[in-house]
Amino acid sequence: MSGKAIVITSGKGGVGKTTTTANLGAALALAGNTVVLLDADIGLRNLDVVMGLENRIVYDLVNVVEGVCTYNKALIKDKRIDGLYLLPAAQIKDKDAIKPEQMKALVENIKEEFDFVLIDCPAGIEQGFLNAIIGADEAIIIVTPEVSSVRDADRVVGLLDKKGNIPLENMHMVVNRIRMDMVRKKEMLDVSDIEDLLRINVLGVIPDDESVIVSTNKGEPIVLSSKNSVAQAFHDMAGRVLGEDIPFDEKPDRSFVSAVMRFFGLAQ
Amino acid sequence: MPANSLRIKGSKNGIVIEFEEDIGQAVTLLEDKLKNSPAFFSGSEAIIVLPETFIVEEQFLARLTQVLANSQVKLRELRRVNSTTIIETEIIKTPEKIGVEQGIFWVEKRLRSGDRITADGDLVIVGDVNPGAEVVATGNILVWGNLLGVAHAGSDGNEKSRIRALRLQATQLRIGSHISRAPDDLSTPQGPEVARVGPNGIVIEAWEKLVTEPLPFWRRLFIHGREVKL
Repeated sequence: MSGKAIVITSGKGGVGKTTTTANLGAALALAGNTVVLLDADIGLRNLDVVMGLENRIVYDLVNVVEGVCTYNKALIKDKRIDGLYLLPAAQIKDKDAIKPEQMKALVENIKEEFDFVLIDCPAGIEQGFLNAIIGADEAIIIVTPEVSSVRDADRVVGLLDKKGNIPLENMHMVVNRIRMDMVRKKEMLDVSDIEDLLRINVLGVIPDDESVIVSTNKGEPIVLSSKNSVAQAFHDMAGRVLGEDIPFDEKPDRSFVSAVMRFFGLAQ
Repeated sequence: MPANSLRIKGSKNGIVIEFEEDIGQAVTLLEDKLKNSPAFFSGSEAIIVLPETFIVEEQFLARLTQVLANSQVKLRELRRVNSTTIIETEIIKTPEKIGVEQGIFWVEKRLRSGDRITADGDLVIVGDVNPGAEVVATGNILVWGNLLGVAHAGSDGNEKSRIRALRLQATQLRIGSHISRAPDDLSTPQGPEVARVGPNGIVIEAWEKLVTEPLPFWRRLFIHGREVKL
C-alpha cells in the first residue's frame, strides 16, 4: 500500500497553511483514513500548538532524519481522533538541518504505511520550501482573496511546476477567509478572479470566521469542535481529496434589495 | 578535484552531460574537457542534466551557454535528474529561424510571477503573461493571451518595435527607451490592442485600427485610443 503525500503551501505567510493542514488532516482521519501531519517548518513549529499536542513532543523531525530514532517513535498519536498522527518539527534547529533527499526518503517511508502525509510548508520560497515540496505528489496552494496573496501563489505554482515536479493537474487551490458580503459588493476578489489568474482547480472555499481563531488558540481542530460553515468547508475539502464530487456551497443572495436589483438587471 | 562531479555519456539525441552537487566545479571541468577534445564535441548537441535540487539562476545559465558556445556545442535541453520536464528558460534558446535575418521565438506557455523570458528577435507568447512575469525582446512582442506583466520590446533600442496582445493590460510597457505604466483607473480593453511609440511616448490603440498618425480626438473618445503616458 502506498499513500499520497500532499504539501500545503502558499508563498505568503499567515494565510492559513497550518490551520488548513490541521483541519484537513482531522477531517480525512474522521473519514476513516490514516493520516500523518508533517510539520516542515523547522525553527518555527506551530502545527503541534494548533493541534494541542505540544506537551507530548519527545522526538522531532530532525531527530528522525539524523537517525536518533525511527519516525514511528517520533509520531504523536492524536488523543481525540483515531488514525491521526503528528510528526513535529524541531524548534531549536533551523531549516538547513535537513537535506531535500533526506526529506524525500522520509516521506516515501511514511507513505508506505499511511494513507495520507500532509506536509505543512513554511512560508517563503527558500530552502525550507524546497525541503517541503520535494517528496510531495500533490500540492494544495492556500490563497486569501488579496492581490498580494494571489501574486505569491502564482509564483509558487510556477516554482512547483519547475522545481517540485508536481504537474499542474495535481495542484489545487483553497481560497481561505472569503467574505461573501464583500465579494457581492465587489470589494473583495472573487474565487473566479483568482481562478482566472492561477488556472488550477479549486479544492475548497473557506469562509472568514472568528471561530477559527478560537479553536486554533484552544488547540482543537474546528472540524471536531464545531458544526459551522468553516467545519463543513473542511469536510467538503476532505471529500474532494478522497475523490468525491461535492458541489460548492455558494449561498445565493436572497435579500429583498438584491431581488429588486436583479429584477431591474442591476445585479446577478 | 573529484572526478565524479561530471559524467558524460553519448545518446541518440546528443551528448548527455550529468552534473553532480558541486555545480561551479562541474562547469569548470566541462570547460576543460570541451577544450581538450574539440574535434569530438564540436557541432554536437548537449543535454545537460542537473541535480534534483539545484536552483537554476541566470548567472549559471549565462556561464553554461558561454562554455558550450565556445566549443560549438548546441544546448539542446536542460533538465533535472529523474525528471522529464525541461527547464523553461531553455525552450527559447533555439529560435526557429524564419526569414534570413530575424529569429522568431515561439513560446507556448503561461508565464507566472517570477518567470522571465528574453529573446533576441521577435517574441511570440501563446498563453498569458501574469503580473510579476517579464517578457523582453529585441524585436516585437506578440502575446496571444492576457498581457498583465511587464513587456519590453526593442530592448536594444529599436523604437519601431510594437507590443501586441489580445488583452493588453500590462503593469508596465517599455519600447526602446520609452516606459509607460498602467493607468491608475484600470479600464478593461475592449479588444486586442497594440502599443507603439508615438510623438509623445507610448500609445496604445486597437489592433485592427493600427494607423501611423494618432486618431482624431472625437474618435479617440468614442472608439479606442487609450493613451497612456508616464
